[in-house]
Amino acid sequence: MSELVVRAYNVLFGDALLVSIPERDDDGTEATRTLLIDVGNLLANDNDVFTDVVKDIAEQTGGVVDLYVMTHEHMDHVQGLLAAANAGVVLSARYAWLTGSAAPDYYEKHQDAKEKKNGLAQALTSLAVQQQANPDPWLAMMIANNSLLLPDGALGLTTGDYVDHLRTLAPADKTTYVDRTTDLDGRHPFTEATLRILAPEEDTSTYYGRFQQPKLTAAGGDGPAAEAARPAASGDAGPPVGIDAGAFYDLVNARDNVNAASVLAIDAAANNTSVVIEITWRGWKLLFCGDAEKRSWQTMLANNQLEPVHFVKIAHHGSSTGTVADILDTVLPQEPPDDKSRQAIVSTRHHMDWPSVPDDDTLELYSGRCTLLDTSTVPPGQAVEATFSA
Amino acid sequence: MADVAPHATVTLMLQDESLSGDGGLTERRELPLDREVYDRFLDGPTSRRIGIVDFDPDTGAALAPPARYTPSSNPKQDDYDADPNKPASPAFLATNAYGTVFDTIRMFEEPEALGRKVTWAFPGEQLLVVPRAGEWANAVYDRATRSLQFYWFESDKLGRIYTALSRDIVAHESGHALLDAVVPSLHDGSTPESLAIHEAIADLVAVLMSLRSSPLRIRVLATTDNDISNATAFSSIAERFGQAQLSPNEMPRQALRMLLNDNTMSTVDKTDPHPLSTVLSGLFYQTLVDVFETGKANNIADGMAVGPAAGKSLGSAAVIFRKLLLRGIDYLPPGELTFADIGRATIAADAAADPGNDAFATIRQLFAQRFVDREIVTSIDQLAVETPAGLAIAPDRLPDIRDSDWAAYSFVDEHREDFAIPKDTNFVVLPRVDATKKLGTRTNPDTGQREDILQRELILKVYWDTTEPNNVPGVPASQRRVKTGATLALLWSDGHVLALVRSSVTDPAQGAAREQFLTRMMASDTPVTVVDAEGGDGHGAAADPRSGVEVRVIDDAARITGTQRLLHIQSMDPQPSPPVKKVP
Repeated sequence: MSELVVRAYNVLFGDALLVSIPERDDDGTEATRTLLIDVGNLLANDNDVFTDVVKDIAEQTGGVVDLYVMTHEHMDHVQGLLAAANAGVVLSARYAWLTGSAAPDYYEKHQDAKEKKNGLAQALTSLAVQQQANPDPWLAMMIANNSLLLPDGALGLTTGDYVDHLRTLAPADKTTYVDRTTDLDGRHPFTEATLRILAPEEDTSTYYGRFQQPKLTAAGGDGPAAEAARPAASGDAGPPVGIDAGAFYDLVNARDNVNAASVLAIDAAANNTSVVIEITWRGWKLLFCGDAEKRSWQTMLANNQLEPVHFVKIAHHGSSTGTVADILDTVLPQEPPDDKSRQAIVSTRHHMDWPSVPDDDTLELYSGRCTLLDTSTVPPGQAVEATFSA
Repeated sequence: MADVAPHATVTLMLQDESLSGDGGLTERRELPLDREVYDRFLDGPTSRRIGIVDFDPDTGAALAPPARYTPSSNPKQDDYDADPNKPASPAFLATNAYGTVFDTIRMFEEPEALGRKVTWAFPGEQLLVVPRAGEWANAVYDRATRSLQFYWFESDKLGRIYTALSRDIVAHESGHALLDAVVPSLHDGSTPESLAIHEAIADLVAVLMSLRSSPLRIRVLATTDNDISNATAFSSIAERFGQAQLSPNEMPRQALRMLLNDNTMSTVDKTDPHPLSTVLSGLFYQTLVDVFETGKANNIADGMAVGPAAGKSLGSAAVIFRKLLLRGIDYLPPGELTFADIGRATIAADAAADPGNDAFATIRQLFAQRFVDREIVTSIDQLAVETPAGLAIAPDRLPDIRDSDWAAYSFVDEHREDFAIPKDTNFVVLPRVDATKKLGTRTNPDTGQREDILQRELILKVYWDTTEPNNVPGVPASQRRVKTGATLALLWSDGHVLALVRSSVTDPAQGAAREQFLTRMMASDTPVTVVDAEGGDGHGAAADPRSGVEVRVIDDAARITGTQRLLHIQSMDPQPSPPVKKVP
């Protein structure tokens, strides 16, 4: 009996998934081929965990994975392989898929997406300036996660370097920037398993949403700041004389919330560019979702991409925005379509980096329908496993 | 109590630069504080009811007051150090926004309009005004933060546009705040018509503020050959803003919304509050033109030259138009409202304050006919004023009804049938309003002096819930709660009924409009907080700060609140798929 194995590593707050797929080739021999999805975490200064993880992956794969997939350009998905390489643990790939919008020429070919991305980049730059003036750990973390939008080297962050490393994992002619329309023939090593890309759309402008957000600070340059040579209202930026203190603090707090909402919108736009892959193997269906959020799920549903599966890598670390209850009914219906077991994996840290992630109610949606595995139940560097026998 | 009411003289931008083409038109205004309460002008500008809060555009930190107050003995000198020659300076932006808000509030409250001070819809006395809120092509009244927020934006064509410099935009946002103070339930409207009323009235408040300025009236008549039925400063809102922005179809817009239109209920998208609002605002503006043209023709018939005839008529039309619009607002019932409710309330309020002038009756008749022309009602009979004699209150009981909730609730309970409150339905009586309005002037026969004709009124408003079926995807309830209500206006001197105005939001057509609007909202990007108390989800959850919209479910019935802010922040374009429920 053969087993397909999904290993999800505890990399603190991030994804690192190794899928080992036994395949029977035309000559009747069976070989196990590997798919590695992401490797990263959100704590930019906590790279040690990657060394053991990548060592383990190298042992499982002989140092070369058959297909590597970068779902999207966030630190918690891209950071690990370069960090491990810098520590002397090098991994390469026969084939590599990177999300379509990471292609160097993508935004030249997609002007709508470029315009929207530039708008978010300006907003993030403003927030970064503001964050430096008034430090906020949560905002700093979110800005770091999306630092690819910042000018090169801003805040000392180099997300681009991590992505650039992933571009070189596989030979250039075996590296593909993928979206739902990509013809996968000849783009991967699998002979028996069937791979299907459900997302992202080629035109990622669809993921940016139309809900409008203000920028509460200028993005630098010759902005109105040139005329604002006045001191803060007081030492602790309290209310000016004559201003109702309660109203003032409510206003300031609301502005902070708008900033939080803005950075969440920026974060969601990138999450929705996640490569979502369905693997079909000997009667099993497995779904790997990256960090897809509501818009991506709705688009997949509208395009009739979604079918019942036996395994879900829960999107976006178990946040409430990574799972849409109604759509989950399509992917993991309450009544199983067959008698096969069903499993889900969440790679997360409970209420440490982000108070609302994972969302307990969201995880209950899965645990009520299938076996739920959680990377945080094993020590950092180790993995939980979901197996599928045939 | 202050011995002398403090005054401040400020210079305000009267109209967008696009009108004059020479850097804008300014006017010096004197701002008097209320002598009945302790109040002072402070740096900012700031006073008891309005406070400027300025934020550093780079860091977002709160800054010290932008304009310094130095009372001047020189009548030619302003009392705030804001230089009108530097309109983009923080001091002028702040002073212009403050002064325009101040003057808009004053216009609302004067005896020629409401004849009373309004109480904000939020706790506290002070409305915060943020002249440099950030970069966005927008301006917002936000009840949650008790503030008006004015943003700036960059235009390829016109450079940086500060919305705080636009009299239209500042007056418009002030109009939202004032309407929220008078009819707070409109904040939670769940039909396009309810939200469109907010937008239309805010637009018309901007028109009123333009009409309030004598120099601007003169300038407009001079540039339009005494014909305001052409596109003018009065009929286009926020011209500079409109020209700087592109419309959704990429065609340059002359202004945000043109009030001079002949839109009807069948020619606009009835599911979108913005175009729908132009039916109502256009109707009112048309009435202004009617009044102006009639007066101008009469003046010419009396032998006046065209110019003076037009000038005199426009001044009178401005006064009549203000009465018509603002007093109508005061008679609006609480709860969801329709355009027809606006018609009923406006006609009722005008009739109640009519000193017996035939011309006013003619205007009301013309105004009512416009509601038929615009397909809001099928007959002017539907706008008839109710004055049920059974709701009269003896004059000696009026102070008690005004001051005592117990007395007011008892009175309403005794007269449930007159108010049409269903049996066994709980109701809420709002704090009563005691207003003294100026009806006109007359010559005192004893003294030979001109004096004001004043009328004191007691206004009582009551609302209650009705329920209707709910089938909106994403709203987990089989029923919806909809507020409906009534306004009773009584003459203080003898307690007789001036008007009873009841809303008409419970008919099936309104229910269908709510269903359609809410379905569209739930399918859009609007961040809606769904709180299902029955299902145990979302207890204590705050409405999403980006929209403020909340759906709260109790006993299988949903109540939708906070929709008003969508007018300024929301694209209602639907998502590519059916709507979904919020994950609990």
